Amino acid sequence: MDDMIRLQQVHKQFGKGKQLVTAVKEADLAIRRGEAFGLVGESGSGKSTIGKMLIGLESPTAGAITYLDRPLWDKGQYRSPRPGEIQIVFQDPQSSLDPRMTVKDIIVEPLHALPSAERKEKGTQARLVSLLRRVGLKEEHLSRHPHEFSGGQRQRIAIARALITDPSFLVLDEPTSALDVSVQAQVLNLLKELQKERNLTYLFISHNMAVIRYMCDRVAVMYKGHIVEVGPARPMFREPDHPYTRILLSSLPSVYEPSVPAGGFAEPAADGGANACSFYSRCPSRQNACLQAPAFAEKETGWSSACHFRGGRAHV
Amino acid sequence: MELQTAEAVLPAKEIHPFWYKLKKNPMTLAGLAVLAVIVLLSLAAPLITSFDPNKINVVERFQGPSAKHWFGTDEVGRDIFTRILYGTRLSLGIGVAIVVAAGAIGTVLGTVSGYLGGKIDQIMMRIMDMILAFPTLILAMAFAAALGPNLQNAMIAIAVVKIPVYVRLARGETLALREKLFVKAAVTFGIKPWRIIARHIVPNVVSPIVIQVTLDIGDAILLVATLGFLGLGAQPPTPEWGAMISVGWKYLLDYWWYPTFPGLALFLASGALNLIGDGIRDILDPKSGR
Repeated sequence: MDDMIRLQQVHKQFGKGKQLVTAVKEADLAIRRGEAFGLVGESGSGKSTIGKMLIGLESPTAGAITYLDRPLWDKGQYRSPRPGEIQIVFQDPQSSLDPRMTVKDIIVEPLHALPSAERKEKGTQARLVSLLRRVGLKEEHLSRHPHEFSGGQRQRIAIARALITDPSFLVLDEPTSALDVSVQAQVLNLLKELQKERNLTYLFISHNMAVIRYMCDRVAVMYKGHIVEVGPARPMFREPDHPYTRILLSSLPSVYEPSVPAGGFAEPAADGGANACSFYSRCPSRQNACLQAPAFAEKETGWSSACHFRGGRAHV
Repeated sequence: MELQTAEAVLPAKEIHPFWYKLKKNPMTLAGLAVLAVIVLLSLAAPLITSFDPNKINVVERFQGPSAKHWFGTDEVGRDIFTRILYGTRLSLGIGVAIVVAAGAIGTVLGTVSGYLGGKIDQIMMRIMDMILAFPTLILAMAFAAALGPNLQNAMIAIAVVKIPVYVRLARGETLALREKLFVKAAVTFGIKPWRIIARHIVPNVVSPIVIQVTLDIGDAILLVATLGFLGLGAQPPTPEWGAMISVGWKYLLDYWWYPTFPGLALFLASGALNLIGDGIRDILDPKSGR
């Protein structure tokens, strides 16, 4: 298996004592070279935290994260495989671009972390201009400031900035959720084309199932810090295994595929105790068996979920 | 009638918003006008008066204001108007130099300590708290007295006393900026901290610092004059306003013009600078809604 990134039993906790919050629990993931891996979940499910751990903004409390079999984190210190190898595009292009810098300075900024020979080689005007054209901007935009651009154009600037170092892995942290729907599609198409052209691997973080379905080859679903299901996108969108995935998908209108039968959260029940399944309190198909948390088990090749039952339904 | 409405709707298009806001702020305009007159007069001093600010002419000592000596003469017969004009260069220049130096040093210290945080930040802020705990003038006097009474040491003393204000200002802004996404993005690119401070933090804290600098120039001039008055600043015969007042106040009862005119000059200059500083703060603050 050609895994590029592997997470093994990764934990992330914030705060201390009574304010201790666990953002990510026992996360096991593998992202393969060349794929677009989707990470879905509601706000606060820990999906962005995983992205931040991959690019060095947050350190894992426990567990191992490896990039091409080399650990990314060593005793709380981030060890970049090579400067510019892993890049990120943030959700909000409004605040991810320095308002006082010109577009040119913004785009070439990541090059300053590279050794000077590589910086010169990658920072030529010709390369800059062709990259700018590729993401759909014009050469005369180079001397302007971010506030002169629309949201979609700003996100294109952020994408160009992430690509200037020729990364192999890109974390896309909700790259389109701050944009208008019409602009979203353009940016998504651009990302898709760039992935093919440059043989990029994506970690695509989003709460928007439609965007994930459009972009991703494989998907992981997170709920309250747990990864509840990982599997290939197409079959999973047709026949989700975990009840939470089912609920997420039922919110998604579908034109071509038969949409997943509607279902909602259950009436919140009392917490099932420390051992219960993480989804127990809101699961529509909870059983007594669920008071004992299910293992995160492979149901089919490359398709795992954390539920006692197949198809997320007790009667199946 | 139609023309009038069109004009009223589109005033901002014709002039830059900065000037538009300035126009609506008459006190600032007045401050600017006064300062402009003072600066022009001091620059044109050799054309306006034919006297030498340091030339002693004992025969004409203590002459009251007249057509020849507009502001009178002092105890050794020097023309006070001339000395005030030449003193403007010194006092304004010193004020600007002190505040710019304090602003620059304070910005560097504040951004570095705010960005790096931790122990460095703690130590830095406690030192600044210590300086801030003393009344400005008392501490400046102590520094100036310890360093030795001359103009240069007075400048250093005032700059040191002024630094904490800028450190606090720059640090506060830095703490907010550090959480901004564009700074985090730079961290993920692997940019070194000193480069992030220089490229992202400093450019974004400059405008509040500039406002504070304009507000402080008047204050710095007053402090220089105060130290001069106390004999800790410029030494005679340098035509510095504070030093002139310092010598002149002894003659106030008999020769009222001697300390009065330098005092008026000081009052006008520092007042004008304060008005300008207030105005710039209002204009640059997008929330002021003027």
